[in-house]
Formats: sequence, C-alpha cells, structure tokens
Amino acid sequence: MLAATISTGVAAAGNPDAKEASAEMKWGFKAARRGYWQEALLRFEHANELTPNQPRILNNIAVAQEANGLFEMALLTYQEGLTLEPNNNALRRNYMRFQEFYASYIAPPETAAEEGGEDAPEDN
Amino acid sequence: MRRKTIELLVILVALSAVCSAGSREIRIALHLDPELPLDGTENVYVGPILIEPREGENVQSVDLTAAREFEIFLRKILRRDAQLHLLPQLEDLQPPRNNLAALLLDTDFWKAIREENAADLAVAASIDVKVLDRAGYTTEEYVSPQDGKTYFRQVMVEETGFSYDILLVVVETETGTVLHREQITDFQPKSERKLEEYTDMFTDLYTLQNRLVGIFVPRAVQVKRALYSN
Repeated sequence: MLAATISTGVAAAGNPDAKEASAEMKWGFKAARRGYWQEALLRFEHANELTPNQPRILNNIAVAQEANGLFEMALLTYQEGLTLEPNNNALRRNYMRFQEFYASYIAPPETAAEEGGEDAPEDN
Repeated sequence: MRRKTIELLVILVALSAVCSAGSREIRIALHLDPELPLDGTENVYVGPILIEPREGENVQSVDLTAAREFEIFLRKILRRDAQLHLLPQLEDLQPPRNNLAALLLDTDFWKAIREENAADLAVAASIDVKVLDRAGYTTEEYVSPQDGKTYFRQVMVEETGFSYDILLVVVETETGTVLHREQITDFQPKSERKLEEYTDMFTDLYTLQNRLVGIFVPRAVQVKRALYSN
C-alpha cells in the first residue's frame, strides 16, 4: 500500500492531470462528509475523466451514486471497479454491503429470493 | 541518537502516507421511494385482518391475540409514521371469506367498504403466528486463541418467541384492484417463561415496521460505506 501511495504521489507530482484528479478527490470527499453528495459525485466523476480506470475513484463514484439514489448505476460502477482491482478491500466491502442493501430494498422480491437476499440490518 | 530520530521520522512519514492512502468509513442515509405513489389525501381503511393458520392446524388463542394486536400495531404505524388518514373501524363488517386470496377476488366486498365510509384504500392482511419453543445442541467452529487451531464444540441454542408470517395487501376499494402485496416475516424473541403471555407481541419489530412504512412514505436507510479521501 505504501508503495502504491508513493507511486501515486510520484505520478501526481509529474502529471498535472493526476494532480488535479487528486485535488478533486479531496474536494469530493469533503463535500461528501458535509452531505453534499451531488457535488461529491461531480468531483469524483471529474477525477475519473482526468485519470480513468482508478478503482479508488470508481469506489467513490459508486458510493456517491448510491447516496444520490442512482442504485443501478452504482451497481455497475462497483462491478467496473472490482474488475480492475478484485482485491481492493474497501471496494469489495462496499460492494458486499451494497448487494445486501440492493437485494433487500431495490431488487424485486423474486430476484432477491433467487439471490438468497434476506432483510438487511440497519447498518449494511 | 540522531540516527534513531531520523528512523522515527521516516516511520512517521510512512505511517501518514499509509493513513492518507486509506479509506474512511462514513455513514450515509440512502433515500428510498415508497412502493405506492400516494398524495396523502387518501382515506384509508384498515382491515380485515384475517387469521390463516398453517395447514392441518386449528386457530388458537395466540392467533386471535396476534391478529388483534397486529391491527392495533398497524393502525399505530400508519397513523404515526406514515401519517395517513385512517377511517374508523366498521363494527358490523364481516368478510364473507376467511381466506385472503379468495377475498381479494370478491370485488363487491371492497366496494362495500367504500360505500360504507368513502375509503379510497383498504389495507388488509392475513397473519400466521407460530410459537417457537426450541432448544438443542448444535456444533460450531471455534478457533482457539491459544494455538490458533480450529476446533468444533457443542453449543446450546435456544430459539423461543413468536414467528410471524404476514401477507399485507393494499386494495383500491373503487375497483377492488390490488395495488400492492407484501409478504413479511419477522421473529419476536421471548424468554421461555414469557411465551404464555401474549403481550407486546409487536414491540420493537424494526423489520416489520420499516417494511410497512416503506409501502406508503419515503424513508431513509442508514448505511456505512468506505470512501477514499484522496
């Protein structure tokens, strides 16, 4: 992880797009913490345009999509991120929690039953 | 001494880099649309609440109490949490059938409710309650903190309480059309010595409450997600 961070930092230092993407991620995170999820989503999406195919950016986009009620899009974004980095822990954990939520509240009962979906606890 | 200070600094820098690279858990409220698009002006009649025991079983006192308590619970939830306008009970209303599936085909019955009290919607249900009083041993995996090996051990498991199986329907009384159908199961744990007391049968049943409210009004579900900060 340290190596990845250092390499990201080095890349950001030499690449203006990566530097701007990193700044957008920070602003997006701050907006999300304040509950401004529309702004957060826009900033994460901008970061993704600047540096595409980054699982950590896709993770944040998926979470922001969830918070904005775009559940179907969030599902696809999580899957896209996991295709790029299947072992990303945060992404995997979020995806599992999202699947539980999706099966319980969004998917039709037949689909949920097929997927073995049970009622999710409050904190899923 | 100086070398140690430099080492410590390097470790601190590395640690801060790792922390900044990591994700943070945050709480989000996910907003869900209601199942039924109501505008809040509808007159809602609650009933009938039918008892549908499992095949080969007779109606018992627990079923009668559960049906009565569920009606009180349902009225409370719909009035307090969904803020619907509920109509008073029709004392002389007798459903011609005790099977909800059959009753749903009887459009005249639902139209009669509308004629009696101008109800727009009727919220009816059938309930099946089962008293669970099970205790026994089960085998579970156990990782020893001493040697880290996995062992199997026998554990006493008690499952005592009320198990509910509820079918709730929302019917448009003008046409007898079923607008929504919701199958809900929930479990109310009770200590063995309180199984004979049929009180507080629907207290703190959050799954049931959440599902019922979600049919009529928007709601928010609190979840946790990991978010990268940079």
